[in-house]
Amino acid sequence: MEILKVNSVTSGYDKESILKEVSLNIDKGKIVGLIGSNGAGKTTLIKTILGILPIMSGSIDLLGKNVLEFPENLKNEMAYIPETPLLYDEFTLFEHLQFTAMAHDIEKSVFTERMNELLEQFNMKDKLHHFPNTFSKGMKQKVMIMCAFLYNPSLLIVDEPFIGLDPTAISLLIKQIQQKREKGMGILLCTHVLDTAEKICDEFVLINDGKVIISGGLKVLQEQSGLIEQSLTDIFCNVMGAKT
Amino acid sequence: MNPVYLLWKKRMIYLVKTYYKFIRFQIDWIIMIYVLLLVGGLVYLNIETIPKLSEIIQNNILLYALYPFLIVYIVLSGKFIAYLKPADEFFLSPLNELGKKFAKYSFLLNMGTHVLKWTVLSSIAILLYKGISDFSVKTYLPLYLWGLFIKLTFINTRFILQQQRGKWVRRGLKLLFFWTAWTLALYFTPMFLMERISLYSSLILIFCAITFWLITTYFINKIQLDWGRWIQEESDMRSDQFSILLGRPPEKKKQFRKKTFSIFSGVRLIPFTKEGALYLLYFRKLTRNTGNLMLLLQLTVIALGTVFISNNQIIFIIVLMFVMFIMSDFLVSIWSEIKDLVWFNIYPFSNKQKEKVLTLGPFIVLGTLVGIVSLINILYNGSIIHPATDIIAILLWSILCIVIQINIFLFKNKGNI
Repeated sequence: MEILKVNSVTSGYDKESILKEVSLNIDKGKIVGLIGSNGAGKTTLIKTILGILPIMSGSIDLLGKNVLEFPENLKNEMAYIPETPLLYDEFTLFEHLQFTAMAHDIEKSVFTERMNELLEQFNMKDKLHHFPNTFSKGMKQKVMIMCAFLYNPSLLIVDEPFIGLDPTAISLLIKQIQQKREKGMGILLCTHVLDTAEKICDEFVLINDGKVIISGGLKVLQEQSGLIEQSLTDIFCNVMGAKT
Repeated sequence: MNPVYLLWKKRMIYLVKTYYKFIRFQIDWIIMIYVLLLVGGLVYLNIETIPKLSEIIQNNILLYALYPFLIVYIVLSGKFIAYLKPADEFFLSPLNELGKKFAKYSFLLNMGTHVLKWTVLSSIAILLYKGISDFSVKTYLPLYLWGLFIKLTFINTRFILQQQRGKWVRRGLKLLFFWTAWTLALYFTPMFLMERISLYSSLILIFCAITFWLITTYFINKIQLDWGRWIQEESDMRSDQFSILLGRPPEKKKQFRKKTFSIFSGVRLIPFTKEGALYLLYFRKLTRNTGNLMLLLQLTVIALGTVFISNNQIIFIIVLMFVMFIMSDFLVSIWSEIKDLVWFNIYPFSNKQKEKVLTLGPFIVLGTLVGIVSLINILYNGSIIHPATDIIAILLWSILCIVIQINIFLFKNKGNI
């Protein structure tokens, strides 16, 4: 079953188009790695899927419905972990979680249970009533992850999730992402850590200058690039080297 | 064109824009015009009482004694700001060459602003002290010139002391200098103010002040600057100023929430729903961060003050209606801070839910505060028509104010909630 279908989308800031007719699919229970150099258009694509940037042409379907036609209902089906933690200065950690739970119509008892579980897993129990101004970047990132894992969306969008996290948290995050995949969640993982991406992603989309250069599973990528049995890093460097 | 000058000019434009943005968030220009009209109207109606202020000062021993202090404070206030940023340590390197050039532009601008500030403040101070009829250039000019050069000398010396490297040397010298400056200023200012000084002595004192100023200016060019500390202090000061502009003292920035009885936090009253999430965000924004709760309380105190100062119900109604209009503008303006946040747009809130919270959130706060004020007025001064009618009328006016402000807000934001 197709969770996300990005169909020839052109998008950008103001009138300048950054993405040019980008297409990609994410199926149920699949992790798709979005890979590209800095400024390739990865974050623009994510922001377009999230509805922060307007779609200039093309369409985005989530669970078979156009995101422009059913925004409120569909927003419940998406979770986002940004590259830079975006937290409210006036909310404590507890209030961030509470706000997320309330916004996604989670029952209070379910919220308490899930919150305690996540706090335990991410080792943040003693920070529950602290404001984020005292948190390190890694801790802030943990808050973002906890907020995203508090509810069960169909699509999880993760932008550079490993930056700033300690090794334990990275391993926990990978485990959590894999568990979500097993439960049927579709995941779009945008990262520069290609070794990890190679291990956990089912498919890859290589993007450069706002266009999809190459996409598919590792084997497809190896065949298309002519680099049989080479790693994702080698394929990426080779493809990008040829393009630049 | 000189690249340092270009950078400096860009920095100034950036800072002016930033300060303007911060001030604009706090002060709505429509309200500023209302305030000016209100204050202007009051001044116009009571113009004949203004010259009497000098009589009040001269008849009150305490005010009479304290007034020179006020002038000395104006003389000795102010410092040199170079508008430096942490990145300058890298981009203006070598600092003793490029950094100094940058600082020189700031120095000239500082001099201009301090001269302007002193001119305006000293004119007002003298006008209030002497009264319009007794104001004479003969009294004002010596004080103005003497004060001006003392002020510039003081700013220069303060800067030189600030650049000293030893912490205790710096503190000791500063203390010594401050006491000397205050003593001298307090000794000479009343002499100028009360015309107890001859023209000849005035000229000597002004000449001395100019000499000191020139000497300190010469030394500023010679001292070795402690760039690292200077840049750090300026950056910290600026972030503190922004915090103050936002109404939260920087030193009181909370690290964690103190546990209180949950009944006081109001969180139990917020439903665990999508709307509840928006209420939570709105009230936390209002009470904790940029909301500037203090402004609301100050406005409430103004309204309460009218209850006790005057028993004229018409004045009370005018002031209360005006205060409510300002409060409603402020309460609705908080929404503009919320609506641009990423989560607010990503999380599944419908326009209907947003509209409801945008209307009810400010109304809950405004209705509660003015309800209390009008209740106190009823108890203290009696009701205007009938207690119930008074309260209903006040609440209706609250709704009307909020509806007006929401429409202004929607108009400004092209209907985007």
